[in-house]
Amino acid sequence: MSTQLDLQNLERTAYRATFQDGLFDAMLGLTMGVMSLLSWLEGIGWQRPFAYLILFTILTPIWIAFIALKKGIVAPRLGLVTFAAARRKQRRQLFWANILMVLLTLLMMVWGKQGRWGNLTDGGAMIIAGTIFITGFSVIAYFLDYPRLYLYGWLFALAEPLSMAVKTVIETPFPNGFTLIALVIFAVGLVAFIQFLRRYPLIENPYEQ
Amino acid sequence: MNNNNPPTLPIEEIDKLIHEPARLLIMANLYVLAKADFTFLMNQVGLTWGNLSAHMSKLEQAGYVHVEKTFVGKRPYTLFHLTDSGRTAFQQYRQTMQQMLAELPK
Repeated sequence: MSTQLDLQNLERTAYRATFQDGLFDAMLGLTMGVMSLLSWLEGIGWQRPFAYLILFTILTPIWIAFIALKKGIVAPRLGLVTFAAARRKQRRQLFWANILMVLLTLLMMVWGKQGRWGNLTDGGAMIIAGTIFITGFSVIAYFLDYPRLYLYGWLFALAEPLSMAVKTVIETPFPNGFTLIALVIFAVGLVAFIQFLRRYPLIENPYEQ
Repeated sequence: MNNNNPPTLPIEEIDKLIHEPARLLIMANLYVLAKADFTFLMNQVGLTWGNLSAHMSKLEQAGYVHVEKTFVGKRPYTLFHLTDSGRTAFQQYRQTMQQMLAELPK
C-alpha cells in the first residue's frame, strides 16, 4: 500500500497506469516500421498508390489487433476508469493540437512541392523533418502525460541521419534508420507489455460475476 | 500562553471512517477520479479483494460511495464514485487534518 498521499500525484499515477501496458508503443513501432517500407517499395519500382494500398492492408490488422488486445487483455487486468473533467478537456485540446499539426505538416509539404523552400539541402530537409517529429511527439507527450513519447520524437528526428550512417556501412535500401528505430520502439512496447502482464494478473472478481 | 494547558485540537471533528489509512487511500483515489471499477481501485490502492470489498461496503453504507452496475459489451462492471456527501466529507477531513496539524505545538 502507498505510504504518501499527494492528490495530484495520485491522479497522475492513475492516469499513467492506463498507458503502461506497452501496446501503444508496440503499435507505434509497427506502424512506423511498416510506413518506412514505403521508400523501399518505391525503390524497387512499385507505384505509390499501390504501395500505400499494400501498407494499409498490412496496417489494418495491426490496428485491429491493438484495439482487441486493449479490450480483451488490458482492460480486464487494469480495470475501468473515467477521469475527471480536466483530463477530458486535455484530450479535446490534444485532438485540436493534432489537427493543427497535421495541417501545418501538409502546408510544409505543399510548400516543398511548390519549391518555396528554395534549394533546400539534405541537411535542411532533415532539420525541418526532425523539428516536425520532435514538436509533434512532444505535444502528444505533454497532453497525454506520457514521457516516453518525448524520447520517441527525438529518435524519429534522428532516423534520417541514422539512415545515412547505415548506408555508409552497408549499401542497401532496407533496413533504413526509420525501420531500425521503429523496431526499437516495438521492442520497448513488447517488454512493457510483458511487464504489464506480470504486474497485473487476471483476477477473478466476484463483484463482476 | 500557559504550556501546561492541553492544545485545543479538533480531534472530535476527525471523520474516523475516512481516517483509517486504507479507506483514506480509497477516498483519495475516488476524489481525483470521476469513476473507477473494483479492479482498477484494487490495483491503485494495493489491497486484496477481501479488504477492499469490506472497506467499500463501509463507505457505501455511510453514503460516501455510490455503486453503479454497468455493462461494457457483454462484460459486467461495478463502478464506484464519490457521492456529493462523500466529496464534502473528504474535503472537510482534509481541512480538519491540515488545521489540526498546523496547530500542533512544535
